[in-house]
Parts: sequence; C-alpha cells; structure tokens
Amino acid sequence: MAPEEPDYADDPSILNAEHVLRRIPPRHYVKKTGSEEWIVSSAAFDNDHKDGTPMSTARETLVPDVKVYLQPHAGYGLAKLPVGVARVDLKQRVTQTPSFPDEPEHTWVAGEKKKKTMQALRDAAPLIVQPVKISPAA
Amino acid sequence: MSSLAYALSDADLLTMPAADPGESAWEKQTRAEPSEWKVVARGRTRGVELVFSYEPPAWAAKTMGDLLELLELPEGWNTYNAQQVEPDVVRQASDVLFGVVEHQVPRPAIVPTAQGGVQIEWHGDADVEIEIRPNGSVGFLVDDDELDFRTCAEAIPAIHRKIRSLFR
Repeated sequence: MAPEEPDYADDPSILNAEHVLRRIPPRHYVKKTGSEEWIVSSAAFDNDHKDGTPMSTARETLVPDVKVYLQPHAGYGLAKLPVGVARVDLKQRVTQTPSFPDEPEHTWVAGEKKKKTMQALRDAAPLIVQPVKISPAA
Repeated sequence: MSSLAYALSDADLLTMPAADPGESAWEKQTRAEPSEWKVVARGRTRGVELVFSYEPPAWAAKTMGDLLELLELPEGWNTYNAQQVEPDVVRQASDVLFGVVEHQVPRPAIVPTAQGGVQIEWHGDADVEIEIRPNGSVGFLVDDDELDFRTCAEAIPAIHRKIRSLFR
C-alpha cells in the first residue's frame, strides 16, 4: 500500500501572534532598479517543490538563537513572517506535521502561492538578518 | 508588435566555451550589419551568441551572463530542496526577456525559482515580475495585475506591450 500523502492541515495550536522564520538565499536578494537599495525577491516565498511540498520555515519560539540556526548557511538572511498574515490574510495553512525529528522547529506554510501571494508574504516578512549581497556582473 | 527578433543558438548554450575558464568575461557587443547586432555573453563555463534585429539594451550580454550562471546551481541550492534550472528554461527565459524589452528598458534582476524556473524582475516605480516555469508557462505580475500564459509565444506580445508602456 502506498504511504498516505500528508495533507498539511492547519494547526491552530500555532497561534496567529507567533512568527515563522524563512531563510533567504543571497540569490534572492536583488538590487532595486536604478537604485542602491536592495529587496528580497518574492521568489524566496514559494513552495519548496513542484511535487506539492509546501514552503519550509522555522517556528520562531523553537529557535533560541538565530545565529546558531544560520551557522550552517553562510551568507543567508532570515525573514520573520507573522503567522496571522499567512493564515488569515493569505489563506495559508501553518503546521508542523509531518515533522522532522532532527529539526523540531521545522514548520510548513502550505497552500497555493500565486505570484501576488508570494509578494504579500515577502512584504509581510521583514529581514531580521540581511543576506550577503551578490552584485550583478559589472 | 515591433520586430524584436533575436536568435540564440541551441548548441551554443551548452558547447561554447568561456574565454577564460574560471573568470567572468561577459560582454562583447558589435554591430555586424546595419540591421543586425551580435552579442556574445560568456559565463564561467558556458557562452552564447545572440543575434538581434534591433539595438539590444546595453546590458544584454551581462544579463545573458546572469542567466547562464543559473545553470551552475546545484539541486537544493536554496537549502530547501530547490530544483536545478535546466538549459531549456534558460533558453525560454532568454526568448521572453529579449522578446519583451527594448533598448531603453533598464536592466532587470534575474533570480532562480525553487521550482527550477527563472524570474525576471524590476523593482522601481512599479514592481514587475516575469516567471518562466519549467513546463514552459509564464506568469506575469505588474503591481496588482497578474496574468498567466500557457506558453512563451503567447506571453511575449502581451508582456511586450505592458513593458513598453511601463518603460517609455
């Protein structure tokens, strides 16, 4: 018998007032057009895989030290997304099931992510750690 | 639609060597004939030659280099199981980009997507995003206006009109 597909049902025990953290790769930190300002691309807030695997994040309350959390990911930034915005405004489901024993903080943000949704997730999630800036080829 | 014709050799994308392996030598832009512009873009391990029937933007070679760089990304490059960007997707992204921009359009940012696609984006007075997906479909977002196209061929004329009006 084939294993049951996870349904990523919303878990209300993860409160709207909580936050989840999303790693931002330097590749997704881009220069604004004709400006010295930088912005996170909405592409950083997509689901993980075209097979339907949702967007991975970390439950902030289970990440005691963001420096330690980011240590294996040199150059990466970290964005802090309010659960309430994802769940209420953007109709996403937030859950820690299925879970990873070696990654207890891992949290899914599941649901369809059209381009507008990804932009809204980006706009709601300020950077708490800035990624390294990769300048475009000169 | 204006004649935004350009050509990219399929073979070149995979076989044309970089001039100096390990270094980035991006740009060589020459006007070959009165109605033809040739642009050679070289990445670290690959290069391409593009032929335009219109004067391409000054950043054409650099941005084609940015696109070629995406082919170097390993699977899982974003630490979240991201897909590799395949040559076909880069080819389609190049088709869309140089099918919708004109000389005066500013240089866009090029980013890979977790699904193995490519996103072309401008962040200025308006936020503009063009996403080329691995299945060949194209998403386009300008501010609140979101459009989806089944193919690049369908997307190019519609996006060209929008881009032209945005970057006059």
